[in-house]
Amino acid sequence: MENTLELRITSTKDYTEVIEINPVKSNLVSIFTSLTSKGLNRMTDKQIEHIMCTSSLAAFN
Amino acid sequence: MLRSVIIKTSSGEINTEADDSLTLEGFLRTKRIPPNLFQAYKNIEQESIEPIPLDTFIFKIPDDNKIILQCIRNIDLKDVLPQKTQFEKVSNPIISIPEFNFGENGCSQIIHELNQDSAKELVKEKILNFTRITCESKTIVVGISGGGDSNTLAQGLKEFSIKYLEKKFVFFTIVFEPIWPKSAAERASELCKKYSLNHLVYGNKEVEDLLGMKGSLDDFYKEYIDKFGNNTSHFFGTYLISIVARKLCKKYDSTEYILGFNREDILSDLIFSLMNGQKPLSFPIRNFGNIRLLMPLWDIPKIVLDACYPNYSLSNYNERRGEQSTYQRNIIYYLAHGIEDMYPNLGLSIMQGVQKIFDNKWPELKIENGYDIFPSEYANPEKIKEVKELLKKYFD
Repeated sequence: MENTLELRITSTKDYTEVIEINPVKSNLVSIFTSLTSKGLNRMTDKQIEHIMCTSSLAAFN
Repeated sequence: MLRSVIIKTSSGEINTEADDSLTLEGFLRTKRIPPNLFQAYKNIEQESIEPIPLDTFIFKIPDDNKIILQCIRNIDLKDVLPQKTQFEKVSNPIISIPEFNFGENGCSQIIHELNQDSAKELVKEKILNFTRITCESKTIVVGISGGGDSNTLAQGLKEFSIKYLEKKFVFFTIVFEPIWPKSAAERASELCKKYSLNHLVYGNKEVEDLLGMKGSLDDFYKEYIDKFGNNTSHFFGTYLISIVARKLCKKYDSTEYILGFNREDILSDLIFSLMNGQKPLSFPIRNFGNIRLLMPLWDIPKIVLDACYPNYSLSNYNERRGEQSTYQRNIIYYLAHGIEDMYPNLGLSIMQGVQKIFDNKWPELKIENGYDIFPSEYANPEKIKEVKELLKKYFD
């Protein structure tokens, strides 16, 4: 019955849920973490965006 | 089943009904209200009021409980969200664009419907105005992909060239599997033919000849992907378009090229720069040495561009299934569209604010001697070296 009524765009075949009861306090630190610290400090792992594409992110979408 | 939900704000209570298959958060979102503006409570009697998280499904709250959503800011939502809607309807609508207006009399909205003709007309006018003010070169190179966005350039620039006979446009499309399929170029050709526009299609051989490459384009791409990862093909594509466009500028004695960057393209680039504390690059004109990249579609939402040629756009997306991209690129585009959606024209307003801050003080891009790359000041010198080594193998 759980969640059956929700129409969820994230319901791909890969979608999973993990429930942690009473998580450790240190987990809350990440509430204050910027997106750049989580990986948005670059566009590509090799950081070529500042070199080969000093234009908008892509000329096509 | 519908459940009664009380929305409490400092300016009054609003009694609403919510579909109980939603979470409380989902219910607020259906009303364009950011959930982080509310705390939810349930109670049977006033004394037993109990706070509950917004991700609670409404059907899980016992039927005899009242559901209260308390606004945690002293703001009057009537000033923020439309209390009156005016519909501007057209026949055969494809999209509807909300416009918010606010002031002493509260907030209202106009829903502008657009059909294919009115979308084309709107975009054409925008392109005409932009090019009239901006284009300096006699000949201008225009890159189009065969997708929705850039194809709108054909019609707009055709109109411009009729009014300004001294201006000439050279359209080009690159065919390069797997990034740009032949079918996309065929759509671009079809369109240019319709408007009697000079259109060049560049396949591998033509690109290699134009750029005077020492090796094949296929090998260049393969080595690029091996080096930088197979989810970076978009960046390769952008680079390829740029170097072909700049080479064509030289060939046709032009100093300007046009690409179809739209509102959310520019916005995503901008958000990325701002969140990283980096000075953004200029728009809608960006200098690459003495060559200027012009972006006539810079303030037009992507959804409006796609509405101009919905069938072309659909074919284009269907051909791009299974494309890989970096997670960063996926997120940043999502954020750009999200900002624009949260409050209409919020993204545009941020873009215009940044334009004001930088005005004539945009960062300059300098060419790396002997290479057609313009690293920004944030490029890592080691990475520049790595890219140059790759380019050296394929270009003189």
